[in-house]
Amino acid sequence: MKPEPVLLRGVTDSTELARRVLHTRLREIRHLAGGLEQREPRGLHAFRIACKRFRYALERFDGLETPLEAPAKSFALLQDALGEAHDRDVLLSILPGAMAQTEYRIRTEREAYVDRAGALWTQAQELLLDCPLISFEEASNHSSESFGPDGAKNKA
Amino acid sequence: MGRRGDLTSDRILREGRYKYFCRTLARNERTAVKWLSRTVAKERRALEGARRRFISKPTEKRLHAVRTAGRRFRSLLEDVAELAPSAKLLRRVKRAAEQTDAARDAAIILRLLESSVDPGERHVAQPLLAELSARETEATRLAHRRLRRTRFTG
Repeated sequence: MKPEPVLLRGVTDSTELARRVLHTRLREIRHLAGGLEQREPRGLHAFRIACKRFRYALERFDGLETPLEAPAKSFALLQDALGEAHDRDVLLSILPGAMAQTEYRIRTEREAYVDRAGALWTQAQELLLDCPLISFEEASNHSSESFGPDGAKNKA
Repeated sequence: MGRRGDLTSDRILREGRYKYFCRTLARNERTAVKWLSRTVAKERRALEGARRRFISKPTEKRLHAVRTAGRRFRSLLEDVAELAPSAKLLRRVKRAAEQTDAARDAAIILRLLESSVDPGERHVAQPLLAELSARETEATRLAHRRLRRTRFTG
C-alpha cells in the first residue's frame, strides 16, 4: 500500500514539517480504520501499515516542539496487537486442513488481538486530543464507532 | 509625490520589518533543512550500522534490526519526499526490505506454529515445521548474500 504524499510546499520550519507529516499520516489511518471494524485480514493489514507510519513519525518528531512520547507508546502497543493478529492470519492461510484444534486456538487468539487493537485504537485517539501538534479539528474527527476497554464495539 | 520616492519614516519602518521577516523566514527554512539533513543522515547511518552487524553475524535478532531500521528510514524518505527527493535511495531501501521479507516471515511463522500447535496434531504439523525451518535457513542465507553487496552510506 502506497503512502499518501505529504504536501510540504511552503514549509518554513521543522515544527510545520512535523505538523503536516503527522496530519497526513493520521488522515491515512482514519481513512483505513474501517479495516479494524470489519476485522478482515486485508483491511487490518492496511490499517496496521498506516499505524506503523504514523508511529514512526511520532517517534521522529518527539521532543521537537512538544513531547509525543505518550501517543508514540500508545501506537506501539496498538501496532503490536495488530502485528500479532497479522502473524496469525498468515499462519492460518498456510495451516494444513487436518489441524482443527490448532486452527481453533490460533483463530481465538487472533480475535482476541483484534479486540485488543480496537480498545487500544480508542485510547490512542483520546491521547491525540491532548497533542498540540495534531490540531483539534483533526483529533476530534472521531469515527462514529468506537471500542470499549474489552474491545467490544460501542454504538455512537 | 509618487510612492517610489516617498521615503517617509513609516515606509522605512515597513521595509525594515519586511527585511526582518525575510531574514527570519530564511533562518527558519535553513533550520528546517538542517534538521532534515541531520535526521536523514542519522537514520541512514543507523540502517548501515544494522546491515553491517547482520553481515558480520547473521542472526534472527540482527535481521530484525536491519528490517526495523530500514522501515523507519523508508518511512522518513516517503514523508519528506517533496522537500528532499531521494528516489534512488528509496528504491535501494525498498529492495533491501524485500530481500529480507522471506527470512523474517519464515522465522515468525515457524515460532508461532511451534508455540501454538496442539500436541495431538504435532505429527500433521511436522512437514510444515520442517519446510518453514528450511525456508528460514535458505532465506537468511540469501538475505545475507544480497545485503553484503548493498550499501546505504558512502
